[in-house]
Amino acid sequence: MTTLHIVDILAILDDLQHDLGKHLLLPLIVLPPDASDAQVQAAVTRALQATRIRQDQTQSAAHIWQQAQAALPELPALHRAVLQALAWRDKVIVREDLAQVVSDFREVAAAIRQARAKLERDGVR
Amino acid sequence: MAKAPRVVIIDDGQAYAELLAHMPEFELLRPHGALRLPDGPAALQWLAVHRSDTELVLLDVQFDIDADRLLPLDQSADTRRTRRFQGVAILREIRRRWPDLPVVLLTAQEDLALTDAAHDVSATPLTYYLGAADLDTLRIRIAAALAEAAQPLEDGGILWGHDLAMRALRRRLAVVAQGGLPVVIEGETGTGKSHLARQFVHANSGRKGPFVAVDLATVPAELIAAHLFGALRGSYTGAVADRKGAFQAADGGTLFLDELQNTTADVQKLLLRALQEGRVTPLGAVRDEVVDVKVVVASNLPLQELVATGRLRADLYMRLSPATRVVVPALRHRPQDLGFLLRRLTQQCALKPAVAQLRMPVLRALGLAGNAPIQLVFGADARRPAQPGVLELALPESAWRALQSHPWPGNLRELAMLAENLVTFTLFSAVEALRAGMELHQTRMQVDGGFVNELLGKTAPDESGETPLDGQVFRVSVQAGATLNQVAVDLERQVLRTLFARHSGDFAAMAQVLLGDPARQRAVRLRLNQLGLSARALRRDA
Repeated sequence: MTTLHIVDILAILDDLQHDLGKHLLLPLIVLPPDASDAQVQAAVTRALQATRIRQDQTQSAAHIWQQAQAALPELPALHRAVLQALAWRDKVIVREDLAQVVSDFREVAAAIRQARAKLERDGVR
Repeated sequence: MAKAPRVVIIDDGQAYAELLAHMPEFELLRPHGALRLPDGPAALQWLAVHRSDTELVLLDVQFDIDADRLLPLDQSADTRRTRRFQGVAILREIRRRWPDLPVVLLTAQEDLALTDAAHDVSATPLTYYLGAADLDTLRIRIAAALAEAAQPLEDGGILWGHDLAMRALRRRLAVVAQGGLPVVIEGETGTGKSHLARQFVHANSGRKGPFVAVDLATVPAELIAAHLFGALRGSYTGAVADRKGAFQAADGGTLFLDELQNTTADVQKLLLRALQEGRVTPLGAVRDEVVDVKVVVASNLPLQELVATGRLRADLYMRLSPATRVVVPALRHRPQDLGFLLRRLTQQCALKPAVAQLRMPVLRALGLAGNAPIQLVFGADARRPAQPGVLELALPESAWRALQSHPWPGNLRELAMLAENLVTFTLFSAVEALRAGMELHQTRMQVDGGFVNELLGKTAPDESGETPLDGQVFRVSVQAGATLNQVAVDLERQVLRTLFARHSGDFAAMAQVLLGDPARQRAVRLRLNQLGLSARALRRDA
């Protein structure tokens, strides 16, 4: 059960959106069209495992999500989208998968947007 | 191969440096050997030394850094918000210190509402905002920012100057000149709308046909339709022969319609059809004529305002597409260009054949070459020694200050006339001295500061108290939503129009009323011109 104020919850969602856009989606969007399977695998793995790098600290996407989840209220749609996106860290990825990976990450972005809008509209229940 | 533009990144992480690694067409600057500048203070310190090496800044928006490295955003912003929009705070500082440095603000977030933090970010020239980056869009934004920064101070006879709004205008016009969509140019009188239409829009349109200009304020209302669309013999009283309209004359080229507000609703309906269908029907004709014309419309009032006051049909306004609208800034809104414009206009008018008659004897008397340039000097330049081989006209400091504080209601037209008057009268005085048998030795001649004040309409107050203007009643109207300055200019125009009509265009009588001295009619004429009023048009209207 969260005790955070709505403003803090929205800020957590904003931070998630920032990490998602800058550290997960951007490195994949800018991959060259002729990127090899190995390049794609490396980019996805790095994006998910070394998502947030601050000073000497490296945090994975899963870790960031666990921290955020502990502070957030129940957001089932976002939870589902995140699990689907995180599942890529356990898979062997080839070039043809890239579009689906990007699509799954974008689903998380959409779920964050929806959650944010709902919280702004209805407040924390 | 063109040299790779030098780009510096301001980012709290490596993401954008890695992004640029995919773009070998840009040279990534390495501040202190690093790939990026990590925060605002570091960036400002580095740019203070390396501004001249830097062609573009790629700036992140959110900075997750220690609070003591954050630049303040605004007073109400907490640390979290300041971090989230730190790029805006850094941008503001960059703009304040280096207004002409191109900046691309970059965020990978699709939904970051930057406008919440800075309403002026997207409206600031040389600033581009790119959400959810992809490489091609970033390439396009960077190229646009670099092109805008590299624009010349003048080309094609147009003095763009340093003003960032004018640079943005040039870029916008270069785009809208292409293709078949009409272009709307708004701006106060004298800002050079018709000049822009001819010298820039038409010149850059790629159209081979002619440029045809119609000043709708000078065509009698009942003849505008025939003037624009043509007429067959006998289609109206006085139509003694078939006549081609402006649309037909401009076929394959550009038609410039100035002062659109002077058209009636009926004419506007015909204009709408011409724009929509590319067809016109001459008066009295049965068959349409197909025309291929790029239409440029100008107005010194915002078209939206004309729609709101019922002077412009909404459907024509929509067809003119507000997306292609540009607004030429008033001269008083580009103060940093005043010196540049004054110098260039002085040089230009000194080359006019009419001025040559005055210039040549003065140059000869001073031992200067016949093609010696004439330059206006003022401010710090006037305190330096005179340049050899140049005839300099030195503006007194007080006159330069008066020019700087003048509101320039007649805009560039007023400034050009002032420049021409300064050159003409200063040379004329020198010629008079020569004719009187005097010798001249100084190649720097002083401009009469009092004459400048007279040109600006800054006359000394009448100390006798009552003036002939007292007690006279003028019916004037004030436009809703106008600025104080616009109101002042508009009222002055209305008063002068009324006086012109009351005195049947007798400038001596007007000077008696306004200045208490009929001999000062020249000052009244000048003021009329400065306000964009033409004696000929006023006589015709009367």
